[in-house]
Amino acid sequence: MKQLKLFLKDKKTWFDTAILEFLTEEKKALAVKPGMFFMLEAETLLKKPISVLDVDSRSGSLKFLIRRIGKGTSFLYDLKPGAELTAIGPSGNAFPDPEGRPVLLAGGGSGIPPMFFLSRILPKKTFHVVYGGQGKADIVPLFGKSIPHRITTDDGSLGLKGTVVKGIRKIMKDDPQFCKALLFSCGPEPMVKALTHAFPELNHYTSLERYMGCGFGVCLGCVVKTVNGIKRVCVDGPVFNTKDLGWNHGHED
Amino acid sequence: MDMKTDLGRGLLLKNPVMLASGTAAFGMEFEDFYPLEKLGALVTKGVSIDPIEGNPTPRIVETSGGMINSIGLQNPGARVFVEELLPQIRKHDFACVVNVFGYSDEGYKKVVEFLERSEGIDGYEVNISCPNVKHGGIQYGTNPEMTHRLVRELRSRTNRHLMVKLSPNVTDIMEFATACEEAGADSISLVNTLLGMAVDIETRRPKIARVVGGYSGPSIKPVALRMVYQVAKCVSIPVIGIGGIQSVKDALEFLLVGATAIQVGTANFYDPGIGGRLADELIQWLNRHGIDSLDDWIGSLEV
Repeated sequence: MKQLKLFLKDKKTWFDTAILEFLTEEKKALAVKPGMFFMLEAETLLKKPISVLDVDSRSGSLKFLIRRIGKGTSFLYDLKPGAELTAIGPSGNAFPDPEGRPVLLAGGGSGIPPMFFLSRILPKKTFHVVYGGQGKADIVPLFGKSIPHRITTDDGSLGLKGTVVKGIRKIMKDDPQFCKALLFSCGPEPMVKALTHAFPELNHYTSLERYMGCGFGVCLGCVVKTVNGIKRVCVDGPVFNTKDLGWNHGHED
Repeated sequence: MDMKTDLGRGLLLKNPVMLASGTAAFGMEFEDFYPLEKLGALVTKGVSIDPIEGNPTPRIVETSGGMINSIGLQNPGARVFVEELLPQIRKHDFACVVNVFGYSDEGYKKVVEFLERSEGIDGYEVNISCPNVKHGGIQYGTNPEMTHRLVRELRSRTNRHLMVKLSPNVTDIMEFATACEEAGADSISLVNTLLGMAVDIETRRPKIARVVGGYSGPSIKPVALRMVYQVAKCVSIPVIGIGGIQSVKDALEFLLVGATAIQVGTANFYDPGIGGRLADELIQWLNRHGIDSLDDWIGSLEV
């Protein structure tokens, strides 16, 4: 964990989403793993937790995906190349290493970054991505043809009409190795809970999103109840096994 | 430059920079940002005799110029503090002030009696100002008789430094400061958070699960500064200034109006390096202005 400066090198936008590419020389920052995040300065008092989309340690580049929702994310969306930001991180645990086992990567809307990051480092043919949104505007064209991925939209404006649950069923049908895959997810809580209900047999890790005060473990604002007691989403998570969250047997947090 | 500041009864700080309770956990997370030895003191997260789970989420929300929190004193209890956390703290050279909390007189007495058996605690900060609990905390800090009674009870149980943290949610802060001094407190820290509220007009729901919470951040500084000034004038024990400090200028202002030390709170969340930086910047500023020691600056306001 470090307090560091990031320099905005490049920005691409897609409807309300921006992909920001920053440069840094901080080695600790470039050692970030999928599921980890940074607290980014956003013209607000508190910094905002934004998960990492991609990293290239050789060129010193760190990418984030920002969905314009509130004051802080709008500030980040409007940044222009050349801007300098203060950040704290990298924070949080990471998704576990599947160690070659098949893994389904389910991302909903702005929950796609850790799934994209994983798709960049996992061995080919061991994973399949499902990327869901309400409509076309939610689906950022991130994935090239060589990355196995399936897009689902609620309104059918892109990919399969339906939710990520439907997308996963389709993948399982096409390639039975994914019937017993690990499931990694990140997205709105209703989506993640729908996944736990649809696939209770899968070993399912999810990255939680919470309002955070500090992002490094001191404020106790972002806690979640787990079967192992109260945990801080920012440093004990954000990745939890859904069994530990009690989501596989009908409890709410 | 002599930066030492004496809070009385053996609590001598190497510099006036303290981290405020509830904004620094038990200190260890800040090791990543600066050497903890730079600090004058750490005030721990509130410790109670038994563990406390804290309030439901959302517990935190940002508002204009500050934030509202309602953590509810989540802590692992005095035993875990002594056995697991205190040894970690004691690897570092700074004063360790333990913020103590109870739901009742009994609760406060028990936690102090328990902690008295452990070495390595330099003092207590009595939390009679937390607004996020049904019993204890602010219940005491808004009633001068209860304040006096509790401080007297705790005074008779410890020879360690006894600091009392006051709430700004009162009409006459001096009445509470006087009650603390008369009951034997060694110092007074103020202010804790102001009671506040934030609501969402789209969902028509409060933004904090417990509806109201403690408002803190840069916007409370003028209120805090006024109260520290008033209290420093009316008591003869040291006063520790807290409230919206986020720069060396803010820290100097509290010291100027009479604070003997300062605590950094909310700024720790968004600027975790601030504690270590302030200690350096205070020396630099005083040097640049030809002031020989911190003591010459403290309370030197010309009215």
